[in-house]
Amino acid sequence: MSDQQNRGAIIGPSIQIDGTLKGDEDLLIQGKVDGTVELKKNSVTIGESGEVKADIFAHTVIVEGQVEGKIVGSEQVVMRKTAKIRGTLIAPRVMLEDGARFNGTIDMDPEAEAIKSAFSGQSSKPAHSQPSTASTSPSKQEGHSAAKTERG
Amino acid sequence: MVEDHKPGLAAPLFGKVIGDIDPERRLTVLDLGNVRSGTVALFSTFRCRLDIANLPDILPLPVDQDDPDVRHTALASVLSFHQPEPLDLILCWNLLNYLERTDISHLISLLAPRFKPATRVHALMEYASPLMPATPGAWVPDANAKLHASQVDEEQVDSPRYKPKEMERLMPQLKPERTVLLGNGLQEFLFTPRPAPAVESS
Repeated sequence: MSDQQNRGAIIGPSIQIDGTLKGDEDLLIQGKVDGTVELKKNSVTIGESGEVKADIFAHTVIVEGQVEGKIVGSEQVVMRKTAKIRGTLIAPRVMLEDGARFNGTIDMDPEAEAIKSAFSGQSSKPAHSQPSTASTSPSKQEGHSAAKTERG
Repeated sequence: MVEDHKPGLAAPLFGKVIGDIDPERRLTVLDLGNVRSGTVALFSTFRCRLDIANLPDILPLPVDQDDPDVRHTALASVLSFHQPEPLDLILCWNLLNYLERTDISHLISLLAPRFKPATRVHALMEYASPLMPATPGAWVPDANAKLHASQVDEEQVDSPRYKPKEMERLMPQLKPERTVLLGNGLQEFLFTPRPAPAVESS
């Protein structure tokens, strides 16, 4: 269990989401997501069983599973050795573990237009996440809590 | 497959390429090989865009007697995934010797539209030894731009041992800036685009 799994929201392995995910806490994706993920002040982790076909915008993105699409991290993107990524990865800092599979483009220019436009008006300082004592599945969330799913 | 735990290989031309980079300027690099941690770490110190082609994944190129273009189609497929931004640097480490002569020419013709006058192509090729690993391994740079062999195939095959003059003939769009025979028998090449021929006015 990583620290990520002990805080923030979790999309479990049996969950599939089509649409736009937005929120203000960290998110672990172990299920399937098609669409867009926007957690611009928080971290998104695609766990080993996660399969994401989406553009991801987050403060920090950690990939352990599969991603197809554009990943934009205002601070950092980490590709673990189990990661399989096809697409474009944009972040001022990128860390890759050997064994990760990547096909596409890695843009590490902090002046990249994609970062500026995606995160315009936001502080580059690490955002404080709101740890919760229990992991919450989006399907169980109510009201203003955590990851908000907008069906596309 | 074996990993190299020796001190890194000093490749003077690669060291010069890295030393010449202006850290204030955006840099576009195409690595024809697979993504490696050392490559990402080295270029992350610059304002860099790094395209990864994964050419080793399609080697050896397919053979289809009924479709002579199948090899060229395969080469084009690994380059089709990137935006056609002009390239500052192309890394071609230990790959050209796994291509037939016509494939080398076709690969360079596919890359040529992304050349600009200052583009550099840095290549490493088996040269001194008549044998080479049966499948391309990887060369991984460290923070000092020294190169480390990784995933070296212990099975060996004959090396084509392309000579520098032959490389020039196969890649007419490029001219050699310098070549260096490294201590381990690898040939290090640094190519730049040939200037377009001047148009004669009548």
